[in-house]
Amino acid sequence: MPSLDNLQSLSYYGAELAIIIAILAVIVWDLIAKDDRSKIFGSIGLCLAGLGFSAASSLVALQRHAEPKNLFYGMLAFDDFANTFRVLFAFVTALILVFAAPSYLGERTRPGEKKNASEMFMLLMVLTLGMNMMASSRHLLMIYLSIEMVSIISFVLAGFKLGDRKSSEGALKYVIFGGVASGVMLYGMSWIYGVTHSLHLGEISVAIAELTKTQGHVPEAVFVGVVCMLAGFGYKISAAPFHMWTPDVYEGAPTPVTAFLSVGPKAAGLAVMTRFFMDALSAKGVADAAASVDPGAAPWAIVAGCLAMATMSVGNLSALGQDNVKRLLAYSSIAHAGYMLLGVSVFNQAGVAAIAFYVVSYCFMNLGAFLVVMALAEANGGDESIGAFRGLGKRAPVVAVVMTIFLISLAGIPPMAGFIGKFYLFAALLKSASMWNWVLAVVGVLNSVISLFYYARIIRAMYLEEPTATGELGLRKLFGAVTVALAVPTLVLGVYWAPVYDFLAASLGMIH
Amino acid sequence: MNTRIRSIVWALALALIAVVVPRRAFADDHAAVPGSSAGAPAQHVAAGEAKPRGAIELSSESGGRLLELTSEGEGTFKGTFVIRNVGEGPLHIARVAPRTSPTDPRLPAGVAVKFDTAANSLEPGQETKVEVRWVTAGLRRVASELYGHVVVESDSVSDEGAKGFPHAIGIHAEKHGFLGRNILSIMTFLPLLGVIAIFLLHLAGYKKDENIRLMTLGLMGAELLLAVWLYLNYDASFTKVDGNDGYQFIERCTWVRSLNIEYSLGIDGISVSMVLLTALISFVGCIASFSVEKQLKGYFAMYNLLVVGMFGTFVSLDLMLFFVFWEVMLLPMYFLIGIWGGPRRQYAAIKFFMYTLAGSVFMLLAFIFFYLNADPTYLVDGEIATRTLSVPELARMAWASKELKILGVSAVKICWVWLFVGFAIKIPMFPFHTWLPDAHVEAPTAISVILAGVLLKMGTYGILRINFTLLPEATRWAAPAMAALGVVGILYGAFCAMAQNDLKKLVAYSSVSHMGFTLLALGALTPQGIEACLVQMFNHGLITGMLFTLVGVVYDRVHTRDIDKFGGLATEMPLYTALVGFAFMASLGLPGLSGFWGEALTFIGAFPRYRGLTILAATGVIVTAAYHLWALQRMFLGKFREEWRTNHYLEATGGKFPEINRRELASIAPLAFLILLLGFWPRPLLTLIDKGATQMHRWIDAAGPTQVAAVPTGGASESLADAASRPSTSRVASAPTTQLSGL
Repeated sequence: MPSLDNLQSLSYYGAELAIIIAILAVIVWDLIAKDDRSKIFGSIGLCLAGLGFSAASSLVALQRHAEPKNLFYGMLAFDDFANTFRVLFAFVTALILVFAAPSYLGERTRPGEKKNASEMFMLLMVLTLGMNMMASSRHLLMIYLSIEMVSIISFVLAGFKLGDRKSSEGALKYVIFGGVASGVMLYGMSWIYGVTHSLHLGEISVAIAELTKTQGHVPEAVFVGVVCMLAGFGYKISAAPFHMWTPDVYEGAPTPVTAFLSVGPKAAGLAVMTRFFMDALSAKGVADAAASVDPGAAPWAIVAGCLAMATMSVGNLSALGQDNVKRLLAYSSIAHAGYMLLGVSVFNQAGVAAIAFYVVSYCFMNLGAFLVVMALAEANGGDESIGAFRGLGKRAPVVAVVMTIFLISLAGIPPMAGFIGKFYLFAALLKSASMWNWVLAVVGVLNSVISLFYYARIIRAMYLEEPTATGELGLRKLFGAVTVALAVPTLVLGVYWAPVYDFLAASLGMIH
Repeated sequence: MNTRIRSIVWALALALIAVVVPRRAFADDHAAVPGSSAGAPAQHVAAGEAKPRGAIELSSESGGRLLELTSEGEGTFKGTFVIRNVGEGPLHIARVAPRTSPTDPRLPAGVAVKFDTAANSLEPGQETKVEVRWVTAGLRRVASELYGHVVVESDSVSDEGAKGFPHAIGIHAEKHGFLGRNILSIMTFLPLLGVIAIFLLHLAGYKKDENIRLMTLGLMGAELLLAVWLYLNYDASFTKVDGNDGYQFIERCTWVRSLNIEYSLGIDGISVSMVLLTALISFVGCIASFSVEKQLKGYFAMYNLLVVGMFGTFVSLDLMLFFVFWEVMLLPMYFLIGIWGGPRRQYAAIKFFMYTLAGSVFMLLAFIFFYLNADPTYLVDGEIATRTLSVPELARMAWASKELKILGVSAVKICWVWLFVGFAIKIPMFPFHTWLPDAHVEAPTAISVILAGVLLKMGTYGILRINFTLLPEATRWAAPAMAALGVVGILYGAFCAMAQNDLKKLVAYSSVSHMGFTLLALGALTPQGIEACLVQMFNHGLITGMLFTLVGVVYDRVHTRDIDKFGGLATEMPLYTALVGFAFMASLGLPGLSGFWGEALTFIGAFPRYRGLTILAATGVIVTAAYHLWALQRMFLGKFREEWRTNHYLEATGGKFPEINRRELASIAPLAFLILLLGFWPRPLLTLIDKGATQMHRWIDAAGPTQVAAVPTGGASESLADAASRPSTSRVASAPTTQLSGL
């Protein structure tokens, strides 16, 4: 596959360029706009336009199955896999922007926040840019840079509530954990570079395949390097044991940011991890080496499987005792990262397709759940405990129904999208019915049962417990509309998911 | 305001650019597409370099993938399909034949294919027509519909994954009218209309909740009428040897093609009685629901959704569909217990939910195992399905002889245990029964009726439909354990019931005891045993439904169910006392009432195989009689307690217990009538399930090796259509059927 030079690459880089232009335009608009209102509307308009272009160009490329290209001398990849994630990221960011906007308008805003509105939108856009690059990086240096880009912006966003102790605490923890994780990852990369003499995933793949062939097993140095790199990936997707920051950051950060962090960077982390595993560690594309290297002998399935098991179990068991719903959902998002890691551990295209479908359904249900928490906290004066959900079934029946849909989808009960996602994951896992995969599957389903218990606690509070206050709950109409709009695909994907899955499965081709 | 409009205009303009520009940006890529797609034919040529081969395409004459046979009058159906060569080389058609064989008649008799053997070689682009006829005139037993395949063997390049598996086209003919074609879907989804209507009424701010009660009653009444229609039109003598796998009122279409999941419904001797029971119990439960006072909209929405799940579970023939309906029942039940239940409702609701889900996730693993290891077969329209979740197709596959392993243990055994635990929790079998008393005690009356009347039956139904049908070898392996656990359940349940002071808990434990009989009966694997299980399922539904309604009557009066607090009620409520006595007698198995048949058949069925266990189970009957009679004595006989006269719940009636009222009578009358009728004349029920039971018995308890033996030897002389149409087993025997309904 030829690598394109910098100028040639730009024509395939439109999705990112659009976002960069939008970022710059937002900064300028922030300086020239006169009043707060126009500032906010203008920046949102610019951001949405940039995201719209990004998503549309990627969709067009996907529909035409544009030929995969190596951009910028092989630093980035332009392929279906990256484009699929670009569309997803643009969608998630747009949703968060629309949802975050009202809280900066109107009388419910706390003083001091409004000023930062376009700053926050700009940061979200930069984050999206970083995620796009994560999904398309094919070079260890780019992987590191894009992960850092996402991390640093995330630190800032997590501490965005100025003067809020929890927010600051979360941000600080995030910084410290992030620093350690990226340090370890960098160390791991240096091992791999030392062994393979390359930073490019394609070349690494060839080198590892040859080394494996000559030594008869995966070189220990590569193993050490990969495990160290997993620290960086694991930190991004909040896999145990690199998950410690998650609950504090999710609890402290403004809810739109939390919702975003729980979906966007996590999906990006899975994308970069999947690409690294599929591209650099699988011997595919190295025709002569492929025959001699038995993929079953590679330890990666075991490593990813252990990570998945630990992540699911830690996430679910810790979620059991939580009273703050944001914290509970934080642990639940850890658990979901664990389910998705099951897809990584199978190491084949079915696994990648299952992850992609899971990410899409997870994006609807998890964003939806966070948005309901946010809407409710706003109406309740910032109360995010389970107590705030008490009697919601009576006070705001539609939102309660919608939240129930999200929660049972998260628990993986049919006929919701979450169940189909899990079905694909388990089916991909059991397709190669090794003993190890069955162990993973059993642990996985046991975890689903545990997870139901804490999701049901929220459902119980909504319907089975008496409300602490009476009367209709004053929720913004926009919140209601967006959550319903997210609940519809959650339900529809659970009943008729074939077109979406087929589209995804057909558009995950990765450059090799 | 002005700036706002301006910024919106800007945003729109930018969005427009966003949509237009990328189309141009990738215009050059578009030009590259033919180049990349040119790779595919090139590959194709490379694969067939030696000699270009033909590729087959089948379609009905009208263009569809499924061939609809249309009626020609006099019981003859006809349709024509086209075989087309879309490949690059010549295509030789070796054989065109309906997919059926004497040992495994997938099709009803009388299907013939007219294929011009002179035209068996097709040049590229050429096509030929094949006529399919279904002549039913003069046949002994005529199916009302036909679903099957016509297999076309050729030297076509075959699909990936289906190596050498011949192509086929689906054929379908229907004698039913609109109602007969869609009856099962209508019955399943009719209550969903109720859910939607209630939701819309809620959005519209409709306040007259009593009318929602009447609407639900109307829907359930319609269900009951449909069930009666189904009963009248169901052909009880139709079995597997008559084709269509023994199912009737089949509805099939593809639901998710990429996963080979079908929307496939049908009933046979195992499920028909359960569908009737569901219709009856949901109607009765709806009348009993009239005592619910709060949040009627929510209650009836959930009630309707529950009924959807119940019907769906009993009629689905695809494991995915089955699983979806199975889980659809969970949430409404959780809310119905949790919102409208008694004081400890939250605990009971979550316990029910967690127990059932824990069982069902392992069920799901077993389903995925079946799915991934299935042999190739066809979807309804004849597309080759390398994997499947269809129950009749999975049942054909020789699971035991595949000798697969899960975690080092025989896969069929592991899957059997996983499935069984999922179903045993629902039955509930000792030691998984602890959710049941809690759920019953806390649930409102109508929900107890549904729970005991229908939901518990899903466990036994699932065992029969999935464990027995798919894994007969493992079933034989586990049968003694099943019987033993059944007997433990009988005795344990009976003794627990005796110790209860709460009348509802007593009835709940009596359910554990009675459902133990179904397990013992199943474990026996004799025809009488399987029949006993079905009879007991049906009758237990009737009797327990009646008992719970009666418990609800006294609870509504004085808000307590403590047996010890009552006494001498016979003088206060003579009619009620008589009815409770009647239900108790039915429950303890008095001959002449329907409860007798289930127990008697269980003993007849189980005794030849497990003498000791059957004798133990029979002692359970004595304990059963003891706790029923003792409860009757404590509540209704003796001296009436005068302190009730001042009870504040009875103030309105001046301290007198009001007699059972008309609505309550209406809800138990149909049950009481059927209990009495089936007690003296069980024949209608027995004929209904007789064939299903004997067939299941042959399936499960065939002498000698079954699935393990007959793997096709696939000689060169043997045609592929035979291999595709013949099951890997010869389990469908054609011995004369044992007539049991004469009992």
